[in-house]
Amino acid sequence: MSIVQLSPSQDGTREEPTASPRVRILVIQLSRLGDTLQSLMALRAAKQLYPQLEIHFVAREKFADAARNTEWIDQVHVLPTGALVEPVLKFLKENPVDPQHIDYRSIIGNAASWIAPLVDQPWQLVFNWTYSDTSSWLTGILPSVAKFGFTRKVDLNAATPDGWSHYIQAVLQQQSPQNIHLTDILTTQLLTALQLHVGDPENEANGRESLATKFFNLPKDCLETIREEGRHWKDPSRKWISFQLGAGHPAKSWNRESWARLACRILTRHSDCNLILLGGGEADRATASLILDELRHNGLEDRSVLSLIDQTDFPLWASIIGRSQWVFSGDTSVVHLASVLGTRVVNISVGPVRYQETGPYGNGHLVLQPDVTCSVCAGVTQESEHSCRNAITHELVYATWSYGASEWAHRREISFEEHLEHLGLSGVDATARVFRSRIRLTDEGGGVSYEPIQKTRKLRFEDWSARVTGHVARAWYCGWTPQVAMETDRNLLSSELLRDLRKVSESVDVLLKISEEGRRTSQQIQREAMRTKSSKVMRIEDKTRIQELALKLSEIDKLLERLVRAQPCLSPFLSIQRVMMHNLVGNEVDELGKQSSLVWDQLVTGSRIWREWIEATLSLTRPRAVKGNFHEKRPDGIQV
Amino acid sequence: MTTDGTLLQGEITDFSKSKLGDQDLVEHLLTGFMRALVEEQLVDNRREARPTPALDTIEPLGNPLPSTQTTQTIKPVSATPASAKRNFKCIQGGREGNA
Repeated sequence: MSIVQLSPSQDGTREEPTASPRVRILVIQLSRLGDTLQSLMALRAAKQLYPQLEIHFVAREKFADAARNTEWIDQVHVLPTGALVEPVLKFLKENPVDPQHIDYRSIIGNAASWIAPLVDQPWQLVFNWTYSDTSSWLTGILPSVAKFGFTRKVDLNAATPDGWSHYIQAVLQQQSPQNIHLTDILTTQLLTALQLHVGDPENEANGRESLATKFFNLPKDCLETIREEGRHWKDPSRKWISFQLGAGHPAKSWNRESWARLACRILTRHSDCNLILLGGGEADRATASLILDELRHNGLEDRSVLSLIDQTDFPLWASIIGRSQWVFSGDTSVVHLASVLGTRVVNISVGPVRYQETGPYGNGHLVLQPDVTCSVCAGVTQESEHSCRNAITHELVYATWSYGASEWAHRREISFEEHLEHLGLSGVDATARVFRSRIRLTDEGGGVSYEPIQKTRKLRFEDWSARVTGHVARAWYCGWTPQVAMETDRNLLSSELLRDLRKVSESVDVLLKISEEGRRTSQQIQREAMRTKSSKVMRIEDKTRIQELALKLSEIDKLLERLVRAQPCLSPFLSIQRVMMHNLVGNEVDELGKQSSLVWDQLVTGSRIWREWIEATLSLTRPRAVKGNFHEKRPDGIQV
Repeated sequence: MTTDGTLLQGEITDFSKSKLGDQDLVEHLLTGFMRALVEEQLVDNRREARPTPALDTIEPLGNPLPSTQTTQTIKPVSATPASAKRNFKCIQGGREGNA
């Protein structure tokens, strides 16, 4: 398969920047606002490097405002979900039949009318960043030179054609620990695709230019609509702090009482702050009401508090977040909105949240994560109350914020623990972990990382394996990796982690052997198949030989399954093998043998990286020579 | 690097050899789209929260060799704009109706 260059000149050299033809790409994002904002971040980064991009964006009506308020998206195509499905839902309501028995073929006219403009001319690249079943059908229809993300093959089977999408399907969607942020995955996938299909970027990356620059095109007078007579909202010296109450899911919401106490604590101690309550819906109204009651009860009245629950459209909401110095929020889309607007976030990450994938993006954001076993998050019980939300107290959130907000003064020369002590809050962090986000340098691996700010917390096996899986992904899809275990400090290592590593070490050796055997057998199949004159007509002994090898490969598959059952931390290997085997391309046995050997080869690479990480981590605990004169005499005359 | 780099390219369509022209295929894809959209909406209505987006269509494939069940018969989806447009017009004109 050859690489298709979209804009090559006749002699193969790149054309002059001014003469570059437009590159039409379509991005399908049918998920919620948070995913939409993360997609926009990736697209903004690409647009800065490739100004010739003509970006079309497909979104649902409810979440399309963010894309509509940008100038650099050429067209937003809104999927009219309601109009398309309402007739069917109405029919189902009136006629209680199994949805499976509906003749969908007779009702595709409206969908076809909506899709027609999208198939008018072929796209150069289509990215389906929804990663859902629905979107795969849509992607399958669109004519494009190359497609990324979930799509459909001509036999209507699901297909995942590219490496990063394999990774999303096999690792992220299977909830396996890994530490690459979703925005980084999308950006890397997009830029790699552009580099392969379009060529090197015309514009050099400008590290100093913020993504937030001209991200949204918002009306300048948005904030003027906030008319609060007698208050000092227009005083530019006052800090704005936004509380986004609620979260993307009730399970990820923080306690109402904790919000109220946090508001009191901040306004009591920081009279230069304005507090804005944001959100929508009954639950958020109740939380806002409790906050206002608590403030009144504590004599703080509402001079510095403004509740805008249910009152913000996208432009006003984004203007407020952009004006705020800090946003406090659970796992919800405001985290990404603040990230693109350059506002610092205190992310109260309770419930089943994977902050390493969907946390705030950028430098200096603070993330709090419960460090307790929550039976609901673990799926052990079905209760509605998550015990983990109690693990993060308002005192800890306040202390974390005040530590981050005063960085300019202490320059992180005092530890977080010392800061807690100064506040008289020592020990409030016992049930939570606190992280500070940082954009890594390119030679350290790039992307956003979340560094623990507590000095006393040890590295858990899950976090360690997340780092290894991220490293493996870089080796697979970026072609290079930073140094092994570079961010692992020996002081972070606990005896439990070392015990787990020794336990998994043997399994990794087995994994390596299985993968090498799989690769060898696949290569044998390829060789045997190439010897035959045709894949359809062959000698019986050749057929028998190929069948024996196929049977052996099947046994190797089962061995891998058994290994992963015994050592679940290696499950990404099984998942990625499954996904890749599903997506093999080829019509002949020898082609499939070759493809299969490449799948196993990828597993060999991954298992070697696991081995290197285990060795490097264990080596950190070995005794090291300490500089100095060991033979000098102590003052008491004893030679040491 | 995984392989020879092909994994990073996405699915490539060679337009010079393509003919999506098969109206049946387009109809099947549209039917799948509508069915998935309705089912997603029904799930949404039942439990408010959106289901975790995931493709649960990975069948237990095991060893794909030399079985014919998996990808041996797959050819790249391809399209000429003209034929795709023709097909869509046809579908729009002739297939509208109620459930």
